[in-house]
Amino acid sequence: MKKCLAVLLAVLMVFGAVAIAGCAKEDKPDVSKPEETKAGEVDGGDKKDLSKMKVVALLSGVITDNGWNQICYESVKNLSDKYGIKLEYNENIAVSDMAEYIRTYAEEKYDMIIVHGSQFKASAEEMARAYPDSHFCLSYGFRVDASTADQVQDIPNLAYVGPVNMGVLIGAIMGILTENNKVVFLGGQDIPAITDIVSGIEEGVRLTNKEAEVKTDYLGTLTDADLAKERALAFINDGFDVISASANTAQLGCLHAAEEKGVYALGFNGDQYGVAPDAIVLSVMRNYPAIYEDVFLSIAEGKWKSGMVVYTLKDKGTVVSDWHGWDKKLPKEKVDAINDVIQKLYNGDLGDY
Amino acid sequence: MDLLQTIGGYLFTDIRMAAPVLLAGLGLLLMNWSGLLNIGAEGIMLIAALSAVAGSHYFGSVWLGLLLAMLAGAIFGLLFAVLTVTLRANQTVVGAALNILGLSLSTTLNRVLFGIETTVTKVDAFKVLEIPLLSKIPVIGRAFFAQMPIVYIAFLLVPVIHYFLFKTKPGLNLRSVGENPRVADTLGINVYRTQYLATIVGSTIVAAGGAFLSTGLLDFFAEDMVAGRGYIALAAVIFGKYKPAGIMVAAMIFMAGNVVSNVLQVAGIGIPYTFLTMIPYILTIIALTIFASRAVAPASLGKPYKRG
Repeated sequence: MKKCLAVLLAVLMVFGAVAIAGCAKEDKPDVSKPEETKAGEVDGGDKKDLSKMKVVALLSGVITDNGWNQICYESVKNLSDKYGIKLEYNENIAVSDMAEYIRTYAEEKYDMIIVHGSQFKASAEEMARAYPDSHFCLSYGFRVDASTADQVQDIPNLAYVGPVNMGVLIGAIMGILTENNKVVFLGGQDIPAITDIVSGIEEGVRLTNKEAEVKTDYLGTLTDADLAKERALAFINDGFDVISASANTAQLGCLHAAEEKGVYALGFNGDQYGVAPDAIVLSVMRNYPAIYEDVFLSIAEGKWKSGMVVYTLKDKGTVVSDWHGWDKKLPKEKVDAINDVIQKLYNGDLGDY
Repeated sequence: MDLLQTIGGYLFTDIRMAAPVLLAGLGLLLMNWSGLLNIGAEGIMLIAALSAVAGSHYFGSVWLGLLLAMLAGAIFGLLFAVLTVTLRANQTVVGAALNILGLSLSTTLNRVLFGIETTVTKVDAFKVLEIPLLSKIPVIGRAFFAQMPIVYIAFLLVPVIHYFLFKTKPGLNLRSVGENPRVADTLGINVYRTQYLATIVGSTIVAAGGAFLSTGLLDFFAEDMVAGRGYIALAAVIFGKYKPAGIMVAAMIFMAGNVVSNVLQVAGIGIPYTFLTMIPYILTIIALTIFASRAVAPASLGKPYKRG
């Protein structure tokens, strides 16, 4: 009996040691982040002062979800690398627990509390009213039709922050890439951070392709990459030849399917070229690192803005990855057309995106 | 002909997706027949999925990855056996703990080994192994004979495990331990050893299912990628009335539901995706009510046995 207990203890200790080693190392790995464009970057700020700012990110999922939460982690990591603030984040927070998490940090007088996801809206609003000394940033998804504006409340220390019109950009590129005139975008679930993109796809495709059949639907999972792959294969077998998806780790399955079947894909939320180099032409990313740097500096400089803080394509709220050699592989007219439409969208030549 | 080919394609997908659930179910079956109720298949599959990628990455061969995954499964099995057989802890609680351990350990190790990136580390993965001649049979040829090796293994294990459980002496011993350990004990069967072996071998088979998810269907690990298949396998064992062939049918019916939802979504007839997600589960419930009479579980399933 004692022997067994000893064995058990040893096993538990080994697992414990591994877990601790994991935690200690967690913050170290290099993170690829969309660096090229930083909206509103300010150089030569008083770095000593800024490093004392207290920032925390409160996340609904894990920082390795290849999506929504990871991009937020990268944003605070970026602040930490650049301004020397302490890197702080909490993962896997349930909606019911969020208010208590916020309270903990607000009591400590944190300067910037990032509440990452519109599902936490009620908690963020309640806590923002209770703690007027902290700045609250609620990461939000904005639909292209501006219907989101009604949901925003006017609280002086709460900002609803996010890019808008990402879907339009993705759709515009998909419309150029397709040869069969059939494109598909698959969301993971019907939640604001995904529907905001889905809402713009068709409009985007129409900018570059009047005839293409545009399909948008949901996978019903954010983690099941195998299921997502089979779903994507079903679409590809039906003739769809450009695919993109927003479903955290599940979207990797869609990209994998595109590579297997030799059709085009667009990466999303990070430069995903490496996942399927033979399929992923470009990746489109939420530029939260730049957005939150902008917000961070606005707090530091006393220029804080509450309410809807929206970063349009013109504001570089969305960035596009490097070509990774695809500009040589694709027909020249497609490359030119894509470069052209991205430029036009950024300049505002195609309308107010 | 076109229609037949499409049906062949559906069958191909169905079989490929059923394989991991089938493997997990068969592994659980061995444990169940030895009287142990292990609900920790999800956790075992997760740690196996990660180990398979890690092994394939570091040793450069997907087969060594599979071996490492099975080893990880065996360790989890051993842990379960120590806690439930020797220390007689509550099997459901320990199983739940294994699920949590598998999820968090695979998440942590994934970050330690491969870093926090938006891309994934791709590794050597299983390739399709076409069986000459047989794969040329119209309609079903590709579905049955142009799969990955691990799919063949999964389906070959069905008759093998059936034969072992119901036609051999060690199989009879195993079942008698699950039915009535005290009687088995008095007849000279080493109950503890039998349960240890069943758990370790069973977990190894469950782990093979997990490995197939990351290195068979895909070639990378994603956190929480098992996405409930460990629980589906639990249900498949009961649905399959504790028989290998029954588990095979259950796994295939469930995954057929996924094929149906794929087809319906592509057809674009406007069914909300939430309903499509339900189809596999609804199909399983319907099949269960129509075909399954009461499943008879091993009599001592879930009851700890104390010698003497």
